[in-house]
Amino acid sequence: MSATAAEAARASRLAAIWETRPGVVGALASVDHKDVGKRYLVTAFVFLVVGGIEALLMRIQLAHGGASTLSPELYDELFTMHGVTMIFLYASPILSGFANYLWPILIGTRDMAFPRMNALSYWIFLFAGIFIYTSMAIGDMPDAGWFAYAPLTGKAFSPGPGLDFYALGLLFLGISTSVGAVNFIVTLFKMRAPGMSLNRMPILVWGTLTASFSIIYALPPLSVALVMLWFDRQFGMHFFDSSAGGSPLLWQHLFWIFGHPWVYIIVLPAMGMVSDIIPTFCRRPLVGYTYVAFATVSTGIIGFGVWVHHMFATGLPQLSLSFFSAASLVIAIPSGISFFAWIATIWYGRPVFKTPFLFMLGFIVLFAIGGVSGVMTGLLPFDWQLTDTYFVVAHLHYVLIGINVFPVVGALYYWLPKITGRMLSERLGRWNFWVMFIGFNVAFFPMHWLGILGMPRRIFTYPAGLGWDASNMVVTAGAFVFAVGILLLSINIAWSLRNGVPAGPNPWDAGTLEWSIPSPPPPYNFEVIPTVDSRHPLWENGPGIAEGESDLTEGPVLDEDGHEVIGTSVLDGAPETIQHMPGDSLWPLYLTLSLTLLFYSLVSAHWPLAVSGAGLALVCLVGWHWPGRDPGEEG
Amino acid sequence: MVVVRGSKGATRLVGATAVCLLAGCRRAPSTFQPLGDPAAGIARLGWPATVTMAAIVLVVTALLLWGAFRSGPRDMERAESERRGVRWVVVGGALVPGLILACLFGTMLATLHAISEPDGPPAATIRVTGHQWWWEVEYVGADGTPLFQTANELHVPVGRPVRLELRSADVIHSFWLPQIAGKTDLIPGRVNRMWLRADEAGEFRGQCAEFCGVGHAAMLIRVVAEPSDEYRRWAADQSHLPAVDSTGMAAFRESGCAACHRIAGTLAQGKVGPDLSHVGSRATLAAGILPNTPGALAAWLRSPDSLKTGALMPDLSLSEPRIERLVAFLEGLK
Repeated sequence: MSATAAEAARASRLAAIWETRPGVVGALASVDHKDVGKRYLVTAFVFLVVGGIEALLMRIQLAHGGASTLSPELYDELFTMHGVTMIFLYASPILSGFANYLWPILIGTRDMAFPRMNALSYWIFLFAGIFIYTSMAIGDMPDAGWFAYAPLTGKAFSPGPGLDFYALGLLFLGISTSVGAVNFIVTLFKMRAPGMSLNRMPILVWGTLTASFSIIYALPPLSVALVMLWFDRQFGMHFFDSSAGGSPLLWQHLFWIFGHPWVYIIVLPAMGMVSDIIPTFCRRPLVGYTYVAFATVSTGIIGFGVWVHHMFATGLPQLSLSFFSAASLVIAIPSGISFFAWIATIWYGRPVFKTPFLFMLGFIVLFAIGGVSGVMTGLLPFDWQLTDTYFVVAHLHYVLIGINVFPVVGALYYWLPKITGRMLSERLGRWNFWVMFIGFNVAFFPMHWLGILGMPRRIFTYPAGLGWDASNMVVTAGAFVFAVGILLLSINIAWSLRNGVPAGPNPWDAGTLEWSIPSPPPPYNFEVIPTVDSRHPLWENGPGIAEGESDLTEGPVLDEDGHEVIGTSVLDGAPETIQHMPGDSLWPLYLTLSLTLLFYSLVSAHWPLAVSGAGLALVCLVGWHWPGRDPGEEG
Repeated sequence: MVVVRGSKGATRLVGATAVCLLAGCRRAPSTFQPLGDPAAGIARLGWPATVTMAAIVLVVTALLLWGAFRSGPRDMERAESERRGVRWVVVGGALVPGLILACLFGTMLATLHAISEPDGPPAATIRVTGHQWWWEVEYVGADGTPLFQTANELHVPVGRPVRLELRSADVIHSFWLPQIAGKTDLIPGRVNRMWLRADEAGEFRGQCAEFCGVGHAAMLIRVVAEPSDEYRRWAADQSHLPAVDSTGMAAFRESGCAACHRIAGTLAQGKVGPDLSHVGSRATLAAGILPNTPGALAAWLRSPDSLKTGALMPDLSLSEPRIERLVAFLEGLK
């Protein structure tokens, strides 16, 4: 009796410390990783829908030869915005959403290492997205493709402001991505629950960690290229202008040194989610955990050595191209290792066919197809035929939808009950899976064939009678079926928010820490900071598939002095310090608004306003770091 | 550079005309049914690679489904199942793929070696320069001296290799003839080289493969492969100065055409648009989107942009009689 009362008092003390203030100001000031994560998920999902609508418009235009639904100008703008939206505003942010929400509860702590930077990275993502879409509002979208090859992007060939929005918008967004990556790395190294040594982390954490390191090394080349592009356009410089000694190939190198690691940045965390979800539904730990962790990290590293395979047709010397061809084949091996770890886990497990597991199975098939088509494009001479055709369009969608969207949707079915406290409909979920899976393959598989039949990508129309018509019609039909799948997902989520069965703490009988706390989690996540002794603390006493003596009920509570968490050592997760964490604050939002002003004034070349924006940003940084109580912080 | 914004009707017309144009080649320009090299060499790599990859997908999908749905006991001891599982990972995930990839890489190197150089001296050297949105074509002698110019159309002798030197006048384009040769980019400030050999007489469809702006979809290249004597006759015709009718030439110059176009042997020496010295002998207009008929040419002169969105040739507001005279003049340039 008294123990329960003491626990209740403890919970309310913790809630008082960690709760976000009610009201609009409280919401805007919140630095709770769960709020940030949910905002990321919702915003990225909205961008997925917007990018999807752009794709459907293109598919209507391409359904048959010689169509004139879209003008060529609009078609070029749509495929550019579709690529930019899906790659920069959906695929990476949705994973940040999962990581932000899940990391602290996966590794047993109460927040990210830098909560305010976390809020900042969300706000910048949101405003950079709005900034990029401003080009649509003013009717001049970027139209040179998402990889925007110079010199087509120069002022001479693209005089409108569309490409300025592209260059500055991605630069702006890069701040958000970099800040997020630093935050993930520090959180992972210093904030894990006592006892969670590196070899006990969920694979999702390995995936996001690798992606975060990749971001730190991959983004600077892109940022440099974007600044050069903007300088060329705004100040008449000549970085990419061959007539003045510049080089169009410089853009391609810089872009793909960023661009190829980026592919792994947006698939490795998703593959990590797969490696964590499959064991739950197979009722056994992942086979070959160490191999998969190493495969994840080595994919990230080798991913930096393959960028030239995007440039096989540029006429570079064949000897150097052959090296990149070899590296592009070698990178298939770590993928093969993860792949067989999943198959073996299923083989030696006891599969339970719930919706999340269906999405994992579907993902594995799509991963195989996207992987082998990648090997085909990695074969240098074969790529001279395949590059810039619909074969590549097929390949990249098998990779990005197969390895990002399918795991993400499966992960929504898996973790949304934790986030909202309610289950999604299993019945609708099965329909959702089959409609998406069939629609996807009908939409994208025939594209391989179209590419082999000589259809280049990025053409707004093609003549009828070349043998491309029937396949294109099938592709368009499949795209709409796939869209219905996304619609079913939205309906299921909306339905579950009101009518879903309450999830309880652990609806899937899963083994990892996030399932030890209530759904939805309280503001402070863990009442007691857990002590971890295995990879599956929740499976230790139950089915007898994990060994260890983790302690989830007794340990540090930290309910006396504001936002406090345990700091642990990098390798072993041995407790070292009590970290005092900052609370809610409006400074991240203020800083973002100042930067938004700065970027809008840069794009309109309004220099005095730009100086004011930069000045305001500086003021915000000073205010952010000024000791004392902050705007929006609780008393 | 002026990019004129276009109207809609264009696309429909492009589609419709291209159908009749390409009625000659009914088959899709399939990379897997090559009619020349290096495409044939690439297909000899592409076919087995595709079959191997398809087999891999089928095998692993079967393994996955078997593993998921197999009946029988699944309560193996944990350490034992982990040990066997890791064997799957090492053998299936690393060793077997490593072996397959090594074989593929070896085949790839052999292919690369086989197709990197033609198997005989080139019958012609052709400088192709990409423009928004058409191809400038110049035949040069073995020592690099210019012989004659044309546009959007290559003629090559069957069974003999030709060399291409690829340049760009503005943005990046990519030269691609699916049935005969893979892609090579045309990059401003660089000269790229490739070779090709058509093994069958006929017309081959090619298309710019690197997005180059609003006219990208309407940048077709046509390759006519013909027996050696026909090819030589064609080359000789192209090398001769065209017979120029003086009234037509006057109309040509008064309309301002000479500012951009060249007619060999006359004062019209413009270098912005395609060379028109023998335009009457070509099969298509406007980089392959229109048949070269008097009607299509008249329509093009009336309003280039409505036939090809973004076309850099301006609408000169020519009178109908002037258009008629120009059409007769240009179609006479053979």
